[in-house]
Amino acid sequence: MNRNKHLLLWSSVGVFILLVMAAANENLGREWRQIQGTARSTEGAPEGAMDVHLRQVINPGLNISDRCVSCHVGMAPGEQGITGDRVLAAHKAVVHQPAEFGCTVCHGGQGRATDKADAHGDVHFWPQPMIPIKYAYAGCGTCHTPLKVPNSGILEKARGVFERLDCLACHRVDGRGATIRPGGGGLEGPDLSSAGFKGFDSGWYEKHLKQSGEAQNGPWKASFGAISEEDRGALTTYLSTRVGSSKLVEAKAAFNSSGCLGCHKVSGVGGDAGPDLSRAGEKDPGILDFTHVPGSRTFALWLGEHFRSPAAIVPGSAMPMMGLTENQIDLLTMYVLSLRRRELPGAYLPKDRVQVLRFGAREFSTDGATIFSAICSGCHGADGKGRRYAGS
Amino acid sequence: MTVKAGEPKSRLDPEPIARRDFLGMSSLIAMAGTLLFSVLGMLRLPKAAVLSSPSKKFSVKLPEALSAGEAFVPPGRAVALFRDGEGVFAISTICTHLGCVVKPMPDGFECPCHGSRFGVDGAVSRGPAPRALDWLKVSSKGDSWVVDEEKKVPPGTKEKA
Amino acid sequence: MSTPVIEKNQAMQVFKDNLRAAPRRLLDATFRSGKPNTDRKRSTFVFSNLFLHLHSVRTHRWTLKWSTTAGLGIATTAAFLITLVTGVLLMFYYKPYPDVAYDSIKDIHFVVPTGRFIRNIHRWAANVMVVAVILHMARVFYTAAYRKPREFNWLIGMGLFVITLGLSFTGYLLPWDQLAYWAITIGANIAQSPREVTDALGITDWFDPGGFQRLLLLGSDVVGVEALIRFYLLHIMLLPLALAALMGVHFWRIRKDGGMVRPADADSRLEPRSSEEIYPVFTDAPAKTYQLAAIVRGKTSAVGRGPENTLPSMPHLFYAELAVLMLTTLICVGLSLISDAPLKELANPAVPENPAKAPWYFLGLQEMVAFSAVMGGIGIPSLVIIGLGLIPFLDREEAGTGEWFGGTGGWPLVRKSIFVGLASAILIEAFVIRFGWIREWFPHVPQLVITLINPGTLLTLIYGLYSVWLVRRYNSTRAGAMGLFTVFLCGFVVLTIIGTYFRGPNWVFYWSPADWPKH
Repeated sequence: MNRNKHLLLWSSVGVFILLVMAAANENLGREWRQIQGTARSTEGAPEGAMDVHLRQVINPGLNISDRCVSCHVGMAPGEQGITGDRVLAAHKAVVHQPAEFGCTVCHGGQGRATDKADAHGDVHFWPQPMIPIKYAYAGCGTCHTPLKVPNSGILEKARGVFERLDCLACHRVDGRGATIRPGGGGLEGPDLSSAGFKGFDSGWYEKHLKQSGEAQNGPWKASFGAISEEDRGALTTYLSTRVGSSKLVEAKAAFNSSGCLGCHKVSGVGGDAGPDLSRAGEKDPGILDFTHVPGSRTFALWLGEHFRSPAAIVPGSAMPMMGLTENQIDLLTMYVLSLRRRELPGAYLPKDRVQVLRFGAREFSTDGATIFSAICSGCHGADGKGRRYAGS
Repeated sequence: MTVKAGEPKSRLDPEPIARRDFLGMSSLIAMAGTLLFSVLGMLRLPKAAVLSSPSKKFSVKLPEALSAGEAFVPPGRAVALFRDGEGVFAISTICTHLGCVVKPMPDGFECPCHGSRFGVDGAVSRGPAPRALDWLKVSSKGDSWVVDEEKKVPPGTKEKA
Repeated sequence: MSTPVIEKNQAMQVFKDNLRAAPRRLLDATFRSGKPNTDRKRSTFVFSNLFLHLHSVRTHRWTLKWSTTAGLGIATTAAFLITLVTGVLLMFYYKPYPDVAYDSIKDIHFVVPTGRFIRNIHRWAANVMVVAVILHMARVFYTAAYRKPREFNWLIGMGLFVITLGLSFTGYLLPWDQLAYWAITIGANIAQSPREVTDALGITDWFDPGGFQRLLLLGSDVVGVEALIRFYLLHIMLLPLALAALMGVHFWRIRKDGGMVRPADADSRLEPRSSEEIYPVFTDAPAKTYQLAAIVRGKTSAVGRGPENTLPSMPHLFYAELAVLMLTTLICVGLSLISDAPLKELANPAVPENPAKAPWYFLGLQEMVAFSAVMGGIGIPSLVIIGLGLIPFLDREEAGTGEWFGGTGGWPLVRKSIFVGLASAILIEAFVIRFGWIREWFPHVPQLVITLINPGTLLTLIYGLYSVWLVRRYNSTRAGAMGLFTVFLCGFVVLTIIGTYFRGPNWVFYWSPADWPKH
């Protein structure tokens, strides 16, 4: 009987020890507890705020339960954040309040998770890891699709016109400009960063001209003059593409310059030779072959390497080596990452997506040059003189 | 030996069913029968009269540039549509082995679950699949095609546009 | 009858006394026989307790030897109790609805206090239970404990084995991840596999038992919300109830069949009792003989001394049972801390998991299913179940009952059978992996031929012939049964290991998962 008593004793002691370990791990060892503990003791932490508990953003409409704010506690609803800290800082001012929209809608990752690796999604069996912060604006593609984006050349030219005419003197765009602040009247034009999405007065030029003509002196008189029709067209192009995420627009312009649509489809437009790219940004890194991709196993790196040499990454791929510059690769990576979708309730469906989904709007500018560079240039070359790829 | 009327029967004669026993037996049989009947009723419950899955008949538009031998799989459906010189035909992509979804390849179909392979016409070329992939009924309707996943047709049946 | 008269000012004092005595009286009321400090009170302690009275009041010393049962039955019960407790806890949060189910498992994993731990324990206890039930069955077989009068309990035990596997299988779908979805798709199609035969005969249109089974299981023609609800119902209610009921019968029959099996000469083989095991027996000896009162069988009444070589179950047996219970708990909890229960991607009906693997104890079946669905999934398992059920009715010998590897042949035969079982399974697998099977050589061979002649049926045939040969060679059914059980166990192990470790995408053989191709 003593053998059994010993067995019972030591088994019970063993179970007890294991339970204590589990309890310690659960109640003390979790990352978010330690991070919130740090937050409380950090200098400058608001008094009484940031008590240690799990936090989350819930939005049943978008079907999110984002617990990211358990570590990024400065972004939690009602918290102020600690300036200067990478993890604990408040979110920068954005159109979509994190307290309403949560985190994963834009950034990807696993909202329900409470451990860093799981939450950032760099784990097995979570198909939607976070979009690398470098390509953060690709997240806009989850709901939005920038319309009226021309190719890079046209976009660059339009930006050049906007800057040459010094519109930035009075207007703020993408965080730049509006530097003239006369002491008296306080003249400052509206922020144009989202003009393309919100819409703008098509009669702005006449109004500007009139106001300039009426002014006796000051900035209106000094800084506004007549603009040629060609330049006004460029300005319209530029304004139409100001949809709040200039980087994504730039990326899309690069896509529209590379002839990808000659072989690939996006939202129903494009060729059949390659795979449909409408949701290519959602690819699960877990099922990709990373044997020839140096560095960490992220989809972005895979994409970059794939653009450099498609057949080396996907054996048997018919896609030619495009001979892209590193900057172009970066932009195309960003654009492909933005090709993602999410089930959205009607109330959250943005109007640019509605126009594409319901009213058949094209996803890109429909001027001849853009159509040629977006579709035809892949085979016929940017100048229409044909193109030969290495090895073909 | 003759038995006079009214004479008590021998102990060896078979005993007629006593009224009491008859009543007992019939009551038990009645109960058993009723319970059995109710069980039969209950057994019908697990199979709904209409299944909740979406309609097995659907119409689809084929892409213009579908070349012969190239499969077109309508999103959300386990059917591969083909078009060649002889017409349009549909092959079910549900493996006949254990119901996994087979993948159309240039040289036929491949099942990821237990490695069955099928030729371009759906015939088994290797693996445990017991029979060829089903060919499904396709009919032309205007510029689109109606596929009926429940109606099988003999392999080789192609529908002219 | 007289009511004690309480003096007026004593009432308060009595109240205080009663209050003080309440805990002791509660104890007395619960265990009416009082402290189990004599053998008689120990007996009363057992049989006057609803939960303990399934035990006999005295236990043979042979039963208490560790080598007799290795505690495997109790371990299985313990694992079941653990899954029961953790399962009920999980039900607080689990929502049986597609997609929502997956989210609720994520919540259990990430934000429910102790949720991850509890789920891990549930999963590990389920695995431990399957292992324990298989080992328990092997123990009963190898000690020939299924023999008369225990045939019926062997059948009950087989029922429990099947229900245990059913519980495991139904629990597999509930997380609603890719693993679950595709394992259940395959499982449901195995239920449908009689079509392989009906199709070949061309009678599926009017006789389709396979299709009916699948529909009954899934409630629809796809794995969807109906299937999830049905599996949930089976998992949390029907199967546990059936299991608990059969367990009750199983335990009760152990007593009715005379307790644990032991060799006829068990008494003489036991060491003399140590002094600590000697208890005063029947200190206040009963005045009547039990035999006269027709309570016990036997030629003489046993008055004033206990039956030979038994010990009071309280506490000897209970220490053993509690020890196994805690040891099982230790194993489950330890494993839970080492490894988390898996949860893959959300179920996606359009993209099959590749490879789609069932729980490990079904991978042997899946290996056979990869040859022929109906044979591997239904034919051979049914044959095995029927064969197991027949064992106690075919082996009517008596030699070796209660001995490990008892009976004709003994351990040398088992050792030989292990070799035969492993070798034939590995050779057949190696052949198939290297050279393929009939379909690869003659693509147009009728399906019925492959259904009948495939590696699974071939292996079964070899095993069957080997067993028949043993019966003739040793002139003993027990020898045949022992050989058959051993080779099937070995076949199960080989196929399970191959299915678990050496099968990759498209069910192709790989030496290691590192060689798997990426898509």
